[in-house]
Amino acid sequence: MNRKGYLLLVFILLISLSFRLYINYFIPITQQINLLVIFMGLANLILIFYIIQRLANYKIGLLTTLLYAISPWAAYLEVAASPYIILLTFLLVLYVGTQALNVSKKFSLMLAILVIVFFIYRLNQITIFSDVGLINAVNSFRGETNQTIFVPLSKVIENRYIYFSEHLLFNVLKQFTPATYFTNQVRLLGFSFASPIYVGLLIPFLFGLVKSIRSVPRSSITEVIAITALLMFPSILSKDSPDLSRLILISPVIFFVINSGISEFIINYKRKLFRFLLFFTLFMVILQFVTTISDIAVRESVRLQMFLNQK
Amino acid sequence: MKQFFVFLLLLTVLGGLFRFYHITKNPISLSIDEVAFGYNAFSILKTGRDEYGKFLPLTFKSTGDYKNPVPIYLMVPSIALFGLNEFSVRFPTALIATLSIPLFFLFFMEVTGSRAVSLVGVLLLTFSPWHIYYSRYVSDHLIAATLVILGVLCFLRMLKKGRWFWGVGSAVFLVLSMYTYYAERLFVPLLVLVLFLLKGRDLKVRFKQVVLFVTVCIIIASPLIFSIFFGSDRARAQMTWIGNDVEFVRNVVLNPLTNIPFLASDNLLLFYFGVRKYLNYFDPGFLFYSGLNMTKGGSYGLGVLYLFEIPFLILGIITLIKKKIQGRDLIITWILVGLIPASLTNNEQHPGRTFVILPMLIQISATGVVELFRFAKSHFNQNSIKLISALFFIIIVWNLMQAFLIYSVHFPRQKGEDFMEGTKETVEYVLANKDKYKEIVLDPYRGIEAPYIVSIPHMYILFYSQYDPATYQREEKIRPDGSFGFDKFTIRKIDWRTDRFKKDTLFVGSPWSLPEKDIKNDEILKRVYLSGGQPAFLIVSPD
Repeated sequence: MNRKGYLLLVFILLISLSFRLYINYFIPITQQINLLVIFMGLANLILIFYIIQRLANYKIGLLTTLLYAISPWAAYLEVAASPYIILLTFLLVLYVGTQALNVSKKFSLMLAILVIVFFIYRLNQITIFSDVGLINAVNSFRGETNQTIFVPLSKVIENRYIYFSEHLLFNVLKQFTPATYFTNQVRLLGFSFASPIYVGLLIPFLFGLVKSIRSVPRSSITEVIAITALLMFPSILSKDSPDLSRLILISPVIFFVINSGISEFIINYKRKLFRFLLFFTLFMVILQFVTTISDIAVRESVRLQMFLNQK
Repeated sequence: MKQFFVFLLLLTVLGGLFRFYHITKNPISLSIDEVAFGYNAFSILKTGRDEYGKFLPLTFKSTGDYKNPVPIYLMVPSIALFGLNEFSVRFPTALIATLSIPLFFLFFMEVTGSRAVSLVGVLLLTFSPWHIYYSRYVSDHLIAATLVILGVLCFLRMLKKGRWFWGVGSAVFLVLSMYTYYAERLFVPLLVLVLFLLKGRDLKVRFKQVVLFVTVCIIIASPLIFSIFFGSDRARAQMTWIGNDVEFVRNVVLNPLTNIPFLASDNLLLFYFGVRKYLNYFDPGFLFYSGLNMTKGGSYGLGVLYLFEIPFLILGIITLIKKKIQGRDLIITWILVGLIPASLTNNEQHPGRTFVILPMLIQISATGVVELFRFAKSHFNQNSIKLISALFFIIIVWNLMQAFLIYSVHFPRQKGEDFMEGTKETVEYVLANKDKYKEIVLDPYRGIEAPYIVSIPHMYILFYSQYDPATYQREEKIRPDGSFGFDKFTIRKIDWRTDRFKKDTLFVGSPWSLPEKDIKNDEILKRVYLSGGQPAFLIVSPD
């Protein structure tokens, strides 16, 4: 990477810092900004850049870092001092470390599993098993069926094990809803109306995803599924799944897929459709960024207040 | 060939059974829309006019929601044949749904060109919870979607065969679907545009037929277009517009705010809100768990697809991405365009507004099933295939039994109120005892947790008494005190503090307006309960 590249990286870090301070200025999420988490957030940016530039090239690395920096997802969590930002730092350091030390893939994966399990266990974050609503639902269903002639059928079909398995499957599937990541369907920190990732990036994401499905060799499918499952694991175990705070762990992967889509647009720049898609994406992202900035200044603190009042 | 036809016939008979069995008992009662549809059809049959006295209208004002004409006119022969009752009202939808099983086969064949995919698709349709649910009560969504399928089938035939009547048929069915349900008014023009783009080359060859198609479309659609832009249909569009969504209003409009910069204006945020609604239709909760809204919010019910379809759908999507199968572009664009109308309206995910995408989702699942079999055949031995099939069979049977319990046990108990359960019972009591009272007052407000449902009890009285439409049209319905009523019936909010002194009057209302603690036991003539055990109505006459 040349000097211009390093300057750009520093510039992106400054943008990132300004965006977080801007959010903190307009929305009183915490009494005092947690500098450690903000610092971890900046470290995450550098680590993401380092990993992506090794996997692809430094231009893609810079783009990924920029998109990560200006997206509200990590920014809000950092301002709110979410512990999952720290977990993300650990995982990124782990990845870089195992790569540098040439540790085997299996060992790296085991280590990552251990870190995540230890972290969520320490924070007592496995709430899926204590979901009272689920038990109540099963009891209510059984109670209704007991008034009919279908009691034996109900014992087989409507027991807590079946419902718990369904619930778990449901939690897994919910992580794959595009509205969770690209719109405000799941509120960031429970109150925000900002999309975690700008919706304009959905098109390059889909292109990137299709490209990945087409290009990933069959032998690597298990590996990809294992990594995805691992990073989504904390959110799957949440009662309020999908949990955007926990899903931040998968965000670098999502941004990487988005950038494979964007690089597809750039490679095929001479074709009209791709040129249009590139400019359309750029336009949409800039527009939503500016809209989000304005909305943060105008409405977000009111929403936070309404959220706190409801609580 | 013979076996294949027998199989299709069997599926149609089985599908008919699922759609007609106990049709008058489940859904548990006629909904507000159903009685309104039914009485207007009865009124048309007897007088040629709707409840307001309008001659053969193209939009029925009804309860102020401006109902579409096709479902009502379709009901007229059924009511003439079976009389005005639950069966005659629900019969046309169930019949169309049953007949759509072989129709879907023809459509799937035309789109994919694969008999295997089409047969599996029809099998999935026969058991589809989405299709069965909307088949069993008056569903303008289902009728409209079937008309769209017919229209597109004719359109594709027109391009293939070049006969003029396919073009005319296509235009008639497609435009009729726009007279049947609101979502089609946006979906059909977009779909036609998509078809023109996808079949551009064929259109040049069939230029004359296409001109005829467009001409017929314009001629039949012109009254509707006029009504949308200048008439009553505009009011309906404004009522359901996404900008009126409660969540949007609560989080974006924020009344006290002034001097908002353009980039944070409501309009830009409304766009993103619409995108969110659009993407939310890909939510697995909607697709596989509770999309049909047949159980209380948050608990597990039925999605628009079965749980066992998850692997098939995923495999189908991967096949669509990896292989260039016939009809791929149409399948994808159909789904993408089909979700647009629903995304522009208020309220949460609505399975009815998106019903039109059902055929394409089924096609994707069917493609997944066929691909899975192909994959298994080439990668596993016979015994492994048998084992996998047995495993799938167990999961499918378990899933179908679960759906059966939800439909037959939980749905009536948990959603009776939404279908106005109890109203028929109260109306029958009122009609039987009508002569004993000078006035009968019915409170339109009801609800288990709060009186948040505004019903139309007068329409149930008109329906179950088969009240003469000509008399009803003539009667002055707004009373001198501003209340609404006809004959002996008055529809207004009951205030028991003052109403308790009115002699020779019968009051029908929920426990919210007739609090039991304030009423003497012998004044309560009847209590009506929901299937879930909660009190729905009290029928009271003060001493």
